[in-house]
Amino acid sequence: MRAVVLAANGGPESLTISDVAVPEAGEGQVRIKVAYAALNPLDTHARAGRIKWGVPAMPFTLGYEYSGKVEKVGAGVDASLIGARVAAAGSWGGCADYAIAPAKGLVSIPDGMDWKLGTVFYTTAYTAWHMLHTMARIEKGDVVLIHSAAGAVGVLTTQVAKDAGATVIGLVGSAAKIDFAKSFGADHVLDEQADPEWPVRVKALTEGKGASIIIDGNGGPQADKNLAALAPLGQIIYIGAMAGQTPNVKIPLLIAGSARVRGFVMYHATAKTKGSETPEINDKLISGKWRYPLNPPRPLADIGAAHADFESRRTTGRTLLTVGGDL
Amino acid sequence: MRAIVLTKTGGPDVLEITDQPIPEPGLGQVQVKVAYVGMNPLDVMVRAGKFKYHPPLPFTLGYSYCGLITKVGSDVDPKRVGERVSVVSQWGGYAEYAVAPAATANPLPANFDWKLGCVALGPALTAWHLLNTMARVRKGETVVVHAAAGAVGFMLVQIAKDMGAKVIGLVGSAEKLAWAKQFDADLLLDYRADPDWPDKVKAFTGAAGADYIFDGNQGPETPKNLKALAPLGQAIFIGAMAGPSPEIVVPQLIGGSAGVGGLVVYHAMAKTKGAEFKELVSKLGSGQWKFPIAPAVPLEKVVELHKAVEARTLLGRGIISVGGDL
Repeated sequence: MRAVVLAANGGPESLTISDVAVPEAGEGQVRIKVAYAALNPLDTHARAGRIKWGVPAMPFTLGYEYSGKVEKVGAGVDASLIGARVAAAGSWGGCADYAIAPAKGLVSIPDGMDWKLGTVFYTTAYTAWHMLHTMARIEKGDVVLIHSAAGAVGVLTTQVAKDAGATVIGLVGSAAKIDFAKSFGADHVLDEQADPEWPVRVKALTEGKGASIIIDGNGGPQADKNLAALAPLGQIIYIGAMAGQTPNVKIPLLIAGSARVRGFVMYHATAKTKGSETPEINDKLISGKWRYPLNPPRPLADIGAAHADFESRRTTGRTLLTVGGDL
Repeated sequence: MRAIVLTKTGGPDVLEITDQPIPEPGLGQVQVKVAYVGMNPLDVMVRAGKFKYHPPLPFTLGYSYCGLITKVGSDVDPKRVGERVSVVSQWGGYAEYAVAPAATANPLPANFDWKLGCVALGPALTAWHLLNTMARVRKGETVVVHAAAGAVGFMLVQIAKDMGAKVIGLVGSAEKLAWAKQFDADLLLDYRADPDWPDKVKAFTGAAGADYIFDGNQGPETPKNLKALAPLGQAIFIGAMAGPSPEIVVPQLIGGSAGVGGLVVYHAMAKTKGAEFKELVSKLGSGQWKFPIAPAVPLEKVVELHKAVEARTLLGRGIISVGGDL
């Protein structure tokens, strides 16, 4: 079968398709015939060697996030899963015709949702919802500042926040992305490249108060600016796993500003709510009330170019790689 | 008038009574004849040079005090003269007279005696806002309180219990553990005798950990809080009685879906605009929430009181009598 195997860290050009044996499902695992693999930022970070945590030892097959049909089950797995439409994230291996995933972590793609949205809906939309509701406990009247507001998590977070009655201020990395971010309902969008003093702008837009919730999936040396844009009693939420080095948190500064800094990994939130949010989120996605920015899929063979486009930040919306296509 | 003006930071012995002119109220201010001044941790921190957010030196210490309004600025209602007031989060209480913005001089509740009125509202407000305005604690959540025998600590324990939380108190000695039983925490731990207290917190919560930790100590042991937190939990800091903390590493927060935060109470008060006072006044005045106060000492003994606070041997909130019951 075809597989994009990572044998050494390198640039996008190092990604090639090789021919490998079809893998077998072990105990507690299923074999999935892959429909689409999403280009997840973690794929690019793993390829470049920017992250170590949660990345398998090389050689391994890329594809952190993908969809497909369960084709075989390993020992101890309910055989009725065969034929199920599922999304998988975290077990890697999706950039191949067949992938192995633990049965436990699979997400069922709801009826009425197409394969493409089904590939990415869970990680992104559920991340947005859980950050705002399960973690931040968003309330009507909150001001939510969203980094990378033109990214997939950004536009979903924008829509969930607007639905909760919040005001949304988006930050984007280029003027070209401003209109795109606004089209998902952001009240204000600032270009952080053109306007390095964006915290001042955030304060001006909020009668001097600042944002009550800041969602930051970038981190990096710029992250210290978040505190200057935060309202007293506000919270900054960093989403894992970021590649950039984020400055350490100094507690006296948090006290002086009555601020909070929190980290977020989704499985902690889903373990808490146990699925009570699923009907609302799925309905809003299937009905189109929350719009998902998906680009036309590219063939698996274009994976190197897709990585390069993503890393140059030319991409707006999510990129899918067609493996088996609509199954 | 007698006043303790901080001219330099240092040990308790830098505190000296000096003779100062009586301060006159300016626009928007009131002059208060001080009855009692409560022992606020900030007084000790600032005097020791461990907290830099304070007015430029020299200035008069005393961050929570009460007394009678004796004069008002030209734009303040003159009917306020003679009013019994408590002043929170303003300096100047270590003196026979102090001036404060009129808006910070809150009428002493009729059901409070002078001492309660002087010391209780500050810690009670801090505890109330930590739980209600910042953390928004829900029924059934687990709260860990550092320094549970301190004034903010025992208020946190009692208010969190009232909100339906499970409460674990941490104290620094066997003597304090016995004394703190009166506040009805679900579990009390002596963190000095029990350096593995995060494990005990985990065991008590069925391995989940605490949803909130309130820490006025900080110090080198601060990272232990992260071990005791449940996923999505938060450790909120309000002081640094045990010294500065190591910096917190963001990826560690992300890995555990953990949070750290801080609170200065005036930010929370600006948000609620006094909505909390009704409950505080009713429950403190009636004794439903206990507020033990240590025996009052005169202004001349303030050095000893600071030493006792730093040695962490005081049981009950420290209080200094300036004019006494006026």
